[in-house]
Amino acid sequence: MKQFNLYIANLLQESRYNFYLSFTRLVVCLLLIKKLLFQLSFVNLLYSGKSFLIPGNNIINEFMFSFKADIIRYNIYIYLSFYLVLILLYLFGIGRNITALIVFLMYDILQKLCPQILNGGDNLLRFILLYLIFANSFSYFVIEKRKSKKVNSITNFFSNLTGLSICIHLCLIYFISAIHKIHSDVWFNGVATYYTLNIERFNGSPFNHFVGKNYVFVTLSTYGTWFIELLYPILVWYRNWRYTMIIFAILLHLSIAILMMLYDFQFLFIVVQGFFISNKIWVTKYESLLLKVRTYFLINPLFK
Amino acid sequence: MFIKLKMKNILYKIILIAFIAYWVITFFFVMPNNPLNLDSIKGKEVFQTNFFQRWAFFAPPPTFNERVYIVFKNEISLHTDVFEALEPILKAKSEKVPFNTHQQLLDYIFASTISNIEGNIRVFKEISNIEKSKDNSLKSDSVTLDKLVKNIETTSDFKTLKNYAKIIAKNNNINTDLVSFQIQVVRIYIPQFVDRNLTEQKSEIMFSSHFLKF
Repeated sequence: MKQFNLYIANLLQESRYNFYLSFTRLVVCLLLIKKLLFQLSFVNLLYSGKSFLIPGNNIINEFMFSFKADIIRYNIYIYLSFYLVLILLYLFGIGRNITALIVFLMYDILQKLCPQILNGGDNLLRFILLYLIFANSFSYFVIEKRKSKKVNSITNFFSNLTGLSICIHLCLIYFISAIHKIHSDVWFNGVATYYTLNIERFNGSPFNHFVGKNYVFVTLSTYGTWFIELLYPILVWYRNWRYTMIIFAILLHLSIAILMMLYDFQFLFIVVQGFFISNKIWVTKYESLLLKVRTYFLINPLFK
Repeated sequence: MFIKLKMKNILYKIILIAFIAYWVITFFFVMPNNPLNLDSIKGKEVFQTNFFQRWAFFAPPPTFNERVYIVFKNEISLHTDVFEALEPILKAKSEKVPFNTHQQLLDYIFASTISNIEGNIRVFKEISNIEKSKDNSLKSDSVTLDKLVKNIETTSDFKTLKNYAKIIAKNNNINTDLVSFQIQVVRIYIPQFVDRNLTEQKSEIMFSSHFLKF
């Protein structure tokens, strides 16, 4: 019980993810805008039910509520315009947690309107948006900072739990994926990446077939992926191993992005790695970068 | 003041307990199927409705590529035209990378549609096997297969493929009033790793619809 109380006191003291929560909000908002803009030409196909794709869900279940999907399908452009405005508000930190809640709900509804196009990245993005509802992710990158400098322990408490949730979720994903791989013969026998590199759907480079035939590459990449997923959830919590595991994970996601064309998906997984780096380091780096940028603009005659 | 502080402390404890409970429940339902979570089907259903997640990531990876053949048969001349829908999309997806949003969306739609059809085939087969084991005198295999195909033809996934077939017909100046169509899903197996240098690939028809009118 004493440990429990101590832990609560620790969570109340300071927000350990202060900078990175704000940075994640910024990245997530930009990612949502990018997704929306790229899908704009395909709205009829994906969401309206007027193209060849037969909509999957007729009823949308949103936690305690359910309603007919047609209500949104018939007004999809109004819905998307409203959604874009809310993402922009969230991006600039206007409306704070209320905006975060609405953006999450709207994104979730959009996912349910067209579940056919979702992948693991969208699934993780949904959870990040859900967790961010509870956090103070408005310390940086906002139009207007709160005037009161008073440290709010409740805010710290929720922000710390949010950061922790994102870290735990990333570890859970790796661990569950590793558990499934143990059960799979091709992963066990060290040939799984041969198959993944030969799937036409994910043929991201002209080298896929070539490297997929190399037994050294296939064995090392198969076991490498497996070991990273298995060991990351444990070793990343130890200071001595943290950076090694983060570097391995980033390399893994970069290679998947390039070889399998899963850009947004892998980008999000790379961004989330930053939650394991201390707030102090992020703030120091950010402030020195800010100083460099300001100095550049002050010194450069073009901007004088 | 003291009571307020005490109340706050209790509230923090409740929140932290809820937080721990959330993670225990998540872990419990996200784990692969096991006797414990299979015993709580109702709970799993509620969990998956609200917190759906699946993290198997290519475990196992598919060991095949797929093709969707659309066959148009002219009712009068009996002339047939065959088009493959998937390969051109996947080729364009690779070629236009990273500016391949259209192809990527089409690919996801096809992958999900085919995967649902294959899932439905598995379910219908399991049901018919159970029915058969209960009553041996029941229908022959061909009758069961016919019933299965008819069932698939009523699903929204098949209707999506049917709509796409209409687009292909239109693009190729095929009069949909004069033709019937058939959709075939074919698997082309990737050779086993030891046979990776072989050029020959085995293929198998996973699903073949009846010839239907638009």
